[in-house]
Amino acid sequence: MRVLIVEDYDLLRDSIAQGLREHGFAVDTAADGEDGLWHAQGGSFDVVILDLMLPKLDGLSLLKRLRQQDTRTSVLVLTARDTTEDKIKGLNLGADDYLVKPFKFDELLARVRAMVRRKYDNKSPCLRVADLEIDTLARTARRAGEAVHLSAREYALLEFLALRASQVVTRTDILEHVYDFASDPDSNVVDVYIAHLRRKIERPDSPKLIHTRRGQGYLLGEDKP
Amino acid sequence: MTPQSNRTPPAPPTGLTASAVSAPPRPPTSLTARMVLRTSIACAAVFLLAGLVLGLWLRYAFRSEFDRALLAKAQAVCALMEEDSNTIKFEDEPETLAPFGDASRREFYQVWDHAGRVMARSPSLHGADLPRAQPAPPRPAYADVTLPNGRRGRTVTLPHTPRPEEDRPGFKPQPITLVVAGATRNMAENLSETLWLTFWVFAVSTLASAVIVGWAAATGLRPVRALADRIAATGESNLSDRFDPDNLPAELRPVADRLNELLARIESALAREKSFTADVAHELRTPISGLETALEVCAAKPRSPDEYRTTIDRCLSTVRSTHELIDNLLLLARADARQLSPNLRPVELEPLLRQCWQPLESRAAARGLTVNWDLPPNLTIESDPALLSLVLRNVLDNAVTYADVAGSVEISAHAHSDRCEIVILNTGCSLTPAEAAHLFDRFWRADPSRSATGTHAGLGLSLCQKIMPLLQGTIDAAIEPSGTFSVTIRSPGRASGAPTSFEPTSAESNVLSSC
Repeated sequence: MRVLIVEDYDLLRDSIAQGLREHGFAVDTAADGEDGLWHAQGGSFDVVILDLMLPKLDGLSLLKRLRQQDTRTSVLVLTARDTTEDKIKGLNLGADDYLVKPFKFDELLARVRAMVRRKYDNKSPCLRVADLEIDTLARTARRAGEAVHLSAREYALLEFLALRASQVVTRTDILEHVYDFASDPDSNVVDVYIAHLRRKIERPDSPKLIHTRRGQGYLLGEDKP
Repeated sequence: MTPQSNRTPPAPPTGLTASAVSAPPRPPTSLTARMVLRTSIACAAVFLLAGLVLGLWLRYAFRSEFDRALLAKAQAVCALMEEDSNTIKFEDEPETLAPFGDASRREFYQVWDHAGRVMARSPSLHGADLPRAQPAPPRPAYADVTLPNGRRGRTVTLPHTPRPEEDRPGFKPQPITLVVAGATRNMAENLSETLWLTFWVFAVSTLASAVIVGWAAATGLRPVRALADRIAATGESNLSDRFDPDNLPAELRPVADRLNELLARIESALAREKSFTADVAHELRTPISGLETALEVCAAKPRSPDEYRTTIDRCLSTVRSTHELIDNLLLLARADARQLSPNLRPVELEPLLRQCWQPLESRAAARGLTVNWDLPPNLTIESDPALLSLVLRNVLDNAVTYADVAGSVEISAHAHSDRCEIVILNTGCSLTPAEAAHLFDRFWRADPSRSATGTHAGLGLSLCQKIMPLLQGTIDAAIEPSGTFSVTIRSPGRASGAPTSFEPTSAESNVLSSC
């Protein structure tokens, strides 16, 4: 999942970024409002974590301008202002959630995950595709009740495919949303990791789950091509 | 707190208990009661004076009337008098003489000849004498007397020369003295009745005027009461409401205007206070949030010593800048609460300035700043070295931080008679004069949405502005159109040949470190 952090306080921004990356998110950061808006409009982020007091362009103005064209991205407002008026103002301008500083990192993580689930119309933290189960909290996968051992990148890719189960996911989607694939110099990185996933997930006695759609992308599901 | 023998006792918490506790009577606090009381006193005084004048005039008028009647009676008696060889005879006219009959207790006459011999007296005297004026006055004369029957009365003494008897031509009558007396009891009764009537009329008028004034005041003061009710209902929740002066009587309009101004001032002070609190919350929560997240993320899994070292260093630097921010906030709070007691003494300026500059030297060099010093030797100022160096450090730090890269900073000082002026200026300022007006506001920074949390939290200049008056000095900032930003600090001081080296005492160091 791809997250943008717009926060001017270095220590906080870097720590959130590190924490999210270590939990399998692809993270971009911006230190001021203008830079943040430019990133948010350019990339397709699942979640934007937005501070309200920002240099150059404040968080609420950024949110207002972002919402004029983009209604898909979930925005989590992060601020030291905790009055009800501030919260109402933020939510009315199109924020999806509100977190007051200081906060527990685990709470931030849980809220970001919940926002991702909502974005993909999935209410349960457990994803199921045929006999494949993915626990997004434990970040583990099981095929027919049997644990599948995945690397962080492999898991991130599988989770992304599972969130969009039965839909064709393009290479570009994967590059944009999944953990720093974009920064990998190997242009075949997606194909390579799809191959890794196939090797670990597919069983000879079970139906095939990962399908390749020529010229379009990949699909996770029981559907026959 | 130092004990003082002549301290006034602490005020009771409310006005209610104040009136209950303190013995000395106070004038009525109600306007209506006050107006009624004053009008009543004024009416009573006016009526009393009027009653006095009226009483005196009535007494005079009654007496003149009585005297006129007495004189008329005397003249009537004279007209009946005839002298015949040293005896007085009266023409027989019962109508005139009847009141003097022996049954009368009210009217009397007596006649003396020029030698003082009694020639005649009224039967009502029953042989007693009336008091006689000696010598006989040339004109009718009046006097208050006690009558022979013990009653109070009044006499008229009339000199007279009686007619001679008709049948005795050539007889020359001698002048005689006639005294006619009348009891004044009726007059006194009438006078007192009239006076009592007047008194009651005035008393009732006073009472009536008090009632009328009370009613008029109560109705006339209704707008005041309405205004008071509205003021009482004004609280933090409806502070933005204003009184409408057009709906009020002319006398209350200035009150409403001043109240509106006061409300506006309170509102803006409250808004400032709120935004200050929000700013403090932001400035403190953000670094704490950073610390918490950094430590939580770091502790989430085992890491290499280098990773731990990086996290510790970053957290430590955050803790230090937050510490500094808290120090500044506490210092501000203490300055607000007047708990800073500066210890003013002569301080040599140049070493102090150099000492404050020293920690900034490397940063100034890194930014390529040219630093110009213009300090006359032996400039001594009267100040608290610890507090003044706090101000100087703040201003110098700002100059280094906000000067343009490769710009310049100028530090100069001059003595003007008993004042010393320190000017610190830097180039490359992009603030407008309107923005400069906010320079001394707490947490104000040129970028409204903050540029950095921590050291430059926008507290420095407002702290300086709080401290300088304690040092009997001032601090001002100015921006030239050329982009030169200057801060001028004025403090008592002079150019002297007797320098005192700056060495903060341990007590002064404690003042600051405990802040």
